[in-house]
Amino acid sequence: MSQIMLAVQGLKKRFGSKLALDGIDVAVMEGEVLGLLGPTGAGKTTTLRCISGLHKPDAGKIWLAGEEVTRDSPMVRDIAVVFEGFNLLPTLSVYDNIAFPLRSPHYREDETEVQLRVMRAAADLRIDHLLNRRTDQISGGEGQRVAVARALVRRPKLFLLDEPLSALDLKLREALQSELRDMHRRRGQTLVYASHDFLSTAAIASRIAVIDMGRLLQIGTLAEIYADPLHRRVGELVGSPSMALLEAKVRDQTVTIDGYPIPWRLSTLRVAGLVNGGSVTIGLWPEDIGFSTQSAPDFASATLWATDFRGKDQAVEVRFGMNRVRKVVPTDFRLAQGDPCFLHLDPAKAFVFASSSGSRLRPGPDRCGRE
Amino acid sequence: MSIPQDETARVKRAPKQARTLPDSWLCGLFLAPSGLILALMVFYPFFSLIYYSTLQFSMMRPRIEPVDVGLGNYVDLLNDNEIWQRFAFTGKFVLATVLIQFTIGLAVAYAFQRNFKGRDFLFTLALLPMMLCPIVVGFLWRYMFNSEWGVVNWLVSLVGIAKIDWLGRSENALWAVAVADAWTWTPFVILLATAAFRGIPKDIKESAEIDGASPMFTFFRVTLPMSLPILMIALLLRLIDAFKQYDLFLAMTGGGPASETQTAAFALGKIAFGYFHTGEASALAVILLIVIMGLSMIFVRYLTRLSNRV
Amino acid sequence: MAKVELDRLTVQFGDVAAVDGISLVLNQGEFIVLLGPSGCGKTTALRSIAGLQHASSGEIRFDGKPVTGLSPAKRNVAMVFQFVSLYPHLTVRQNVAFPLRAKGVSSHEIGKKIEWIAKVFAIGDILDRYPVGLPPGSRQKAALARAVVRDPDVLLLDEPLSAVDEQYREEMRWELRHLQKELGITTVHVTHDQREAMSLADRVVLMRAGRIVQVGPPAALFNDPADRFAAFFIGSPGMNFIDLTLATDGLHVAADQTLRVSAPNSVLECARAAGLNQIVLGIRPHMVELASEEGRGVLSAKLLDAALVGRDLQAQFALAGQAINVVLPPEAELRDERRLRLPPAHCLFFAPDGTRLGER
Repeated sequence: MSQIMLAVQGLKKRFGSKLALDGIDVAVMEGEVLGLLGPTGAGKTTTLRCISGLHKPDAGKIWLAGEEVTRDSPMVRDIAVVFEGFNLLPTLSVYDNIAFPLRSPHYREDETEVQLRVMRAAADLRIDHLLNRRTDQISGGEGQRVAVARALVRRPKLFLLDEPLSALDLKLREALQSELRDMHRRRGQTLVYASHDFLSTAAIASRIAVIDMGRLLQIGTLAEIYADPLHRRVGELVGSPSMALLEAKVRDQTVTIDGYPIPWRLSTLRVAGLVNGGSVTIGLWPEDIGFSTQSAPDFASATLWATDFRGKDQAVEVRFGMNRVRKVVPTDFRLAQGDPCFLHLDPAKAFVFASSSGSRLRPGPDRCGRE
Repeated sequence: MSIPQDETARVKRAPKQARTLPDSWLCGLFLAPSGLILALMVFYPFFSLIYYSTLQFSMMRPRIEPVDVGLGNYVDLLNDNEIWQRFAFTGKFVLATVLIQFTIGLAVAYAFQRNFKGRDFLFTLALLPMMLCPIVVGFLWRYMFNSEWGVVNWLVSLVGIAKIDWLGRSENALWAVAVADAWTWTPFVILLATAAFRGIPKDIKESAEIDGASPMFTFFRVTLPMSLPILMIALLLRLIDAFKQYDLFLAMTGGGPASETQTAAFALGKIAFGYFHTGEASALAVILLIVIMGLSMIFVRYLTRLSNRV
Repeated sequence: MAKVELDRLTVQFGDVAAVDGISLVLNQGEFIVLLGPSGCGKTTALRSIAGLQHASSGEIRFDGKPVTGLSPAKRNVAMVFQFVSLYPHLTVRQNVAFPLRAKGVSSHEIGKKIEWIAKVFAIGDILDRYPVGLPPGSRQKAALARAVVRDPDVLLLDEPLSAVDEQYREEMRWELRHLQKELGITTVHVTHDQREAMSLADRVVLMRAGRIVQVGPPAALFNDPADRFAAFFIGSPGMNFIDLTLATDGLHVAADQTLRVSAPNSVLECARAAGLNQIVLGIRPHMVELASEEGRGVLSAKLLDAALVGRDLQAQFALAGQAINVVLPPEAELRDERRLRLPPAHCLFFAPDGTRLGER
């Protein structure tokens, strides 16, 4: 039975007039990789800095392996962090950089132990051939690995990564992602991985916490999020392509999506609390949207706005009214911008979000839940 | 998989709190020495100055009691037509010298944008005048402007114009001293303008080139406007210095004929160390300070507005 | 809009050829992407087309007319740079008007053009703002508007999306693709991001060390790469490479000789003819299949991990000690030991020096 490695409750942090964190609650299990997904400025870095102790939160508590560490200075918490810029010490060799945490006054180890640990960390990250080089003599990808090795050499209880891969080019990124996963498999390290990139987060995380504007919108596995997104921002940030969010109007027991000629009966949405004459946002995952190059019953005609070849498949963007939809289709479809196409939107698959707040409107109490 | 027990056991637990001085204290400690010097060498004399300006006394006659005249010194000065003439002359001089400095300075910086053979050497040469002592410059140009055997009049005569009395007549002296001042400080403008022009990103210049803009068009529509913040600073510094110009006038005209080529600063020197009317001099110094500060504030306001944009 | 031809274009810096005799024909209205790692010469080539870089030898022609000696101003090209593309001291409106003013176009004419371009690029609401306050996406849109307003023959883009935050980059890619097709201007775009290249290009020009490795539509580079470098560079997750030994009885996995792999005869003949006994197999992650029973070409592998990424199941298997990435549909059943099949039709084969074996 694995224990909770990190528990955060009610974390709040303000910088001047800006409220960076507005009540963050999250628990990370031992050995899990939690992905912290959110756009730039959402509060990911601030959250990680609070967890590591670099910022003192205005409110809230933090527990590490059962002990409260909220007031502890960063030196004392058994947490390692890798930030975006790596922060390697330029005057020291790679070996000394990795050994650095073990030689600090708080964790004084004897040199034989230090050497053992550094060699092991270097072997794990495959940088043992670089140990004698200076940090300005190695490439970006290698520097990233040194930073990771330095963080791991203490065998911390918790490992925080803050957009560690964004500065690297694609191939390096793939290689490092692979190594991070490999390393996590072998060591059982608990990780919190913050990023704005959905694909790289999903590749490594077992659960994803979606954060925006200082608030945690949802935590769960990807499957859970797909089945039950709680906020329109979750839909916007998850998936490649992400959820299609369509503006619609409610009038006399029907919901009409702007630009889509087929109205839906309000009852098919099984949601309570919609105001007649008001607007609402309909969310549909691209996979649930029907697309065809031929006319078909229940399909509305639209024009192809742009195409995007992705290698094993292609994405298309279709616009109608003031709405737009992106969908993945097989490469066999020979499509060009401006071609006519046909869409089918299914109310049974639709999620309903409030227009103003963006939060998900659930089925009313007298309806059964969605299948 | 959990972390091996033996490894975590080896890590020693350190004390919970690490005590260090609060940041604000450290700041204070670092600033203290400079603050002390500032207080002694700037604040004390400054407030003394203001105090003296309300008195009528002379430093040379400490036995005679200072008379408290309140704002009397200021009233007297502002009612004195002569003082206004001095300010007028100062204003004209400042405009003249700054005009010359910037016209030539910008033109030279413009020419120096392209890398040509010997550019760096010429550039170093152009900077030399700045390194001379103002008094030396003053005497140098005094001899050059000498109406009988000076170089300037010789050059003028080559073109067929009669000898000009440069330093004896205030209208001419204004320009003569302005030329000397500009000669010394145009290099400064060249330096700053060159720095400003070089600071413009290469992409911008290439953009303009691709857009089909001629070099002149690019200079006036892109290079100059983008250099405005630095050029404004250069302008402000030159204006302040021009207001304070003393050495050149001392060497070249002695303030004469009579007091016609006395700038406000020169007049101040005369009152303070010629007649030793310390109180009056202090008041004049304060007036001069207010004028310069007023000018600077206008500039700074404009500068901040500019830098918010670029 | 112009047809652009590069004829054995070479640009030397000292004794290094940054661009080494490349020849290329870009058709009118085409969106061409020059793709490659840093230092491959793509930016140098672009700047040569612009006229900002002097060519050491070779010729550049627009619609058949040589432009090699002409200054940028005379070539009627427009360029958008990576970082600063807008004049910071001018409003967006003044920026867009700048090239027109430089050419002496009348104020009235300028006004009309700005109105038109503002509609096409949807920048009407930011016309009177200064670049400094705008988000990078809007800034690059304004830069594009400025580039396009004077009706250039060729539009040159120097990694315009690299400086844009990743999360906005995807939006901008869609917009850029749509706009280019709307306007129909011949466009040359430089990037090191293969995703961007595949998204935007009608044809991709893959470059390396100053030379062209392959030219073709994105699908051609993806499905039929010219060599190992091209196969590796394009596609994410990247292609899997497995070392094989060629024995008299066929192909075996080098790290585990008991595992056998099949290949088309053309490949085997090619390899034997070249006297190779070691070749490399390449297969894209989504082409690897799960096999249900033993049989020819079925290899057993151990599951390392799997994650649901988007709507795909991305799994990693250990095959003879090597990690193989596999992309599967989400409902695929995974057990610890699985059998993988590498369908010969979707395998690519390379000689140790990187050249493709067999027919393309």
